[in-house]
Amino acid sequence: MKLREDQIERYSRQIILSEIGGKGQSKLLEASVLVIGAGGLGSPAALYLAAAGVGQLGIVDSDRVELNNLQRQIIHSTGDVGRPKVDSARDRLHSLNPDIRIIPYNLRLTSANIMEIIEDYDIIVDGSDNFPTRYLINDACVLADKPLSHGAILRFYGQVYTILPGESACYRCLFPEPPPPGAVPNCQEAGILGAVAGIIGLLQANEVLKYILGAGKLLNGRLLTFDALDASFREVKVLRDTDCPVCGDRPTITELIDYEEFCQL
Amino acid sequence: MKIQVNLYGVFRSVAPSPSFSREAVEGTTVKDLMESLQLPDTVYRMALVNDIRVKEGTILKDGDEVHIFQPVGGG
Repeated sequence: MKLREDQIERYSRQIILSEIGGKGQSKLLEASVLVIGAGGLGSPAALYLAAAGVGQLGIVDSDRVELNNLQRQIIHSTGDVGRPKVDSARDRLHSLNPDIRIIPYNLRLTSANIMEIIEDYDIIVDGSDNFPTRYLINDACVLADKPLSHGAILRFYGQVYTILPGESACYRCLFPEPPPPGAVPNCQEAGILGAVAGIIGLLQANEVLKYILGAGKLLNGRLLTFDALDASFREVKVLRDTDCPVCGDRPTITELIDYEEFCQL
Repeated sequence: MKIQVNLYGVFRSVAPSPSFSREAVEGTTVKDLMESLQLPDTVYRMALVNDIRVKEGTILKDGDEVHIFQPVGGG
């Protein structure tokens, strides 16, 4: 695609990078990314993907903005409290960059709707806040062969990695089944430092941009962990499990499961 | 024998350092190691040994590198 003059100006500081150039910017403008969750991870990820000129950005969330979200969910403002998060996110992203298309999905993902939604996107960002959704996203992406950026946070800790189905370890290669209800606290119960959400969400955006551009080395097969108290990153190599129930050589999961029915967290 | 141990997330605080080497007797399992580290057994936990997820009954060998995690779901 031919870049307009205002696009060349808007994206000039990244077009100048040899790994991007006009060709890379065109790839970004033609790309589509689905951000699941307009929360602690989805907020920074969506803002930076929009600013970079990702042409189509889908945002999935069924919640409304609450005052206690604003300490980390920086896509929303005080005046948005009470509004659907996808509306608030759409308005903020549109004011940041009217050059891109934003598609809000004010719904909760289930086995009945996820395949149809992810079909339209090149890569998926998991910024969800509960295990049933995380397993649903992982399985759907493996079954649909969609790349997935995984990010998760709690307290002062975060982790991020990239799943290329069939090539690198999926979420179930690491954690085959969801933890029993109540075995793992969530951010509401255990707390989260807002800056940790920002760091991990931005690493997810960084992975997505590299994937679209075909630049650098992705975090596929490498789980990157962040400890805010030590200010340290550690990388753990994770191999694909050939016995994985969904991406292994003889998968036992061949259709989607709604864990919500028995795994309320 | 010597085992290299790496702790993440909530388990980070059970030892002075998140990454350390530890002596263990022959036949030590992943579960034995977790117990010796006094990791809370009420918490769901996962171990990788030499990059591969293993069951807690797995017997460790000299030079093994163990990573111990709790799944994290917050976003």
